[in-house]
Amino acid sequence: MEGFSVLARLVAATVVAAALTGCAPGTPDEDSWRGDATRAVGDVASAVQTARIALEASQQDHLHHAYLQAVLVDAERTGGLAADALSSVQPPDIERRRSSDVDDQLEQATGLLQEARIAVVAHDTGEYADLVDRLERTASSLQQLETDLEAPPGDAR
Amino acid sequence: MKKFFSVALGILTAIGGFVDIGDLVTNAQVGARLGWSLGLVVMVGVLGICVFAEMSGRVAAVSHRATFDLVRERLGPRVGLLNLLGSMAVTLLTFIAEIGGVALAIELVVSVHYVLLVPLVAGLVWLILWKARFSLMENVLGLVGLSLIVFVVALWQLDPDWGHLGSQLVTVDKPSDETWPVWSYYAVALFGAALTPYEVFFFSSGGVEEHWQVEDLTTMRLNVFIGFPLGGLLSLAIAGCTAVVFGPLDASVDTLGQVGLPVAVALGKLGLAFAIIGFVAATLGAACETGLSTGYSIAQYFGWQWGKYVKPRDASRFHLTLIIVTLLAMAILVTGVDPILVTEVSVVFSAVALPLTYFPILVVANDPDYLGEHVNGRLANGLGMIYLVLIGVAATAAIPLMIWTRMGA
Repeated sequence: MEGFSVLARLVAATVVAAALTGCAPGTPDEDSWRGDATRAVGDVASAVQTARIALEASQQDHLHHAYLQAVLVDAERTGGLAADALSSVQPPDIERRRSSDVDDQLEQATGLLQEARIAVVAHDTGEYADLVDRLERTASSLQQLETDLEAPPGDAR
Repeated sequence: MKKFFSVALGILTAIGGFVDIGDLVTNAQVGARLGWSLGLVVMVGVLGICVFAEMSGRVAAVSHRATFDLVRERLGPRVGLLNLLGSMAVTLLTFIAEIGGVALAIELVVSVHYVLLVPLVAGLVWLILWKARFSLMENVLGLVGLSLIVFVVALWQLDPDWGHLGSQLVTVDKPSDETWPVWSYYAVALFGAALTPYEVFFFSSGGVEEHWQVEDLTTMRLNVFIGFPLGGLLSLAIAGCTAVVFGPLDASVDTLGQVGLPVAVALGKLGLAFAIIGFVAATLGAACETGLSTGYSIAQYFGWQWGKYVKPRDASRFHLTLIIVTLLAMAILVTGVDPILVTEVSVVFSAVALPLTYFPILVVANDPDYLGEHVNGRLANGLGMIYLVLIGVAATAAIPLMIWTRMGA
């Protein structure tokens, strides 16, 4: 019976502690933030690569317009969701500068995805070649950023 | 000659009907990230569904009763209820994913948001379940689903490094930038996608709907042991296509539109048109099968009159169940929940529910009161036991791996 009482107190204390700490915004540790950032950058890079492949296929007349539009809308949505998810994570102090760089690059990438979607919906086919080039450059810089983020700030290439 | 055509038709529909939204999405995701390093899991999963589908088909042909009609009688109402709840939850989740999959596939053609298409798709599914003849539904959707063979042609046209793909397949060569927990998570997801519980519900109940007899056992076995493995080849082709197009770019696959892109790259508009038709037929066929499976399971557990061969007024509770689950699926999808996410969750929970589905089949298939001389032989029992162990491992590991890897993130 005494054991049960101790157990009940422990459970109550855990619930209260969880409730109190759950109310405060948490700061993830460095590794956790790097993991989140790497995933977000990787997801946005995937969306950018998908948009590029779709636009290239469309230039070669391999894709119906409705399909291209659906792929671009999805790419913009998934890229935007990944960027938003990271922007709501509090970066640790040591990563604040890189966090700002990551936010900037993700914002540029999602902006480019939006631009591509607008061009596709508007049937602005003259823009496709330029968009493909810019998407390719953006994907490549995001992939470099993803590699850099796997190491702590001082060790990044 | 008639017999030959009947067997050929059965095999073709088994191939075309094998792939559903879970196979499409999971194989495409795995191909992009892990190439063919999980190809053996697909093969093991396909052999598993063959083993248990043959057992449940044999039960239907010999006893003229669906397997789960017998589970409650053989194992008692408590075990029967556990079996019903576990399998039903997964089948319902799969039903939602399939209806969402049809809407997503149509969205690729009409540029209308899938949420707006969901009520139309749900209505179409219900209409097919209400009006279409069983054989017509199975044969037409199965045959049209064969257009997914375009993925095999596309893979050939993409001219992959066959040596590398083959080596990945045989040596389970995981890409160095992926972790073993992620690899294991996708292994469980692929296994769950191949062995989805509804497939055996539908197969055994369908056998009763089509009045299988003992003489039909050979045809049934040919359908299972030729049709299902060839259907499994389509899964490997889908994974191969995304491995070639997305793998080198380190890009992940998160949407149905991405699944079809490699076909467009390889074969252009015509190939893509076949792929989209295949998506619609595969998901619509599976939506009908999962919808019917929910009705079959509930009606068989409670002892109601069931089946498409019975007039709706004589099987009113069965048809009411179909209406309710269709409305429920529609209501959940119109909230805007991502059907791809539902699919990802459904294949993992399918792995969790596998023992609840497959253990009772093994018990019933060993009962001479129901099967007489057609009870399981040594081979069927040996394979069944091996698969029960594999299923136990997958079911135990599924949730921890899902949490640990954040759904393979």
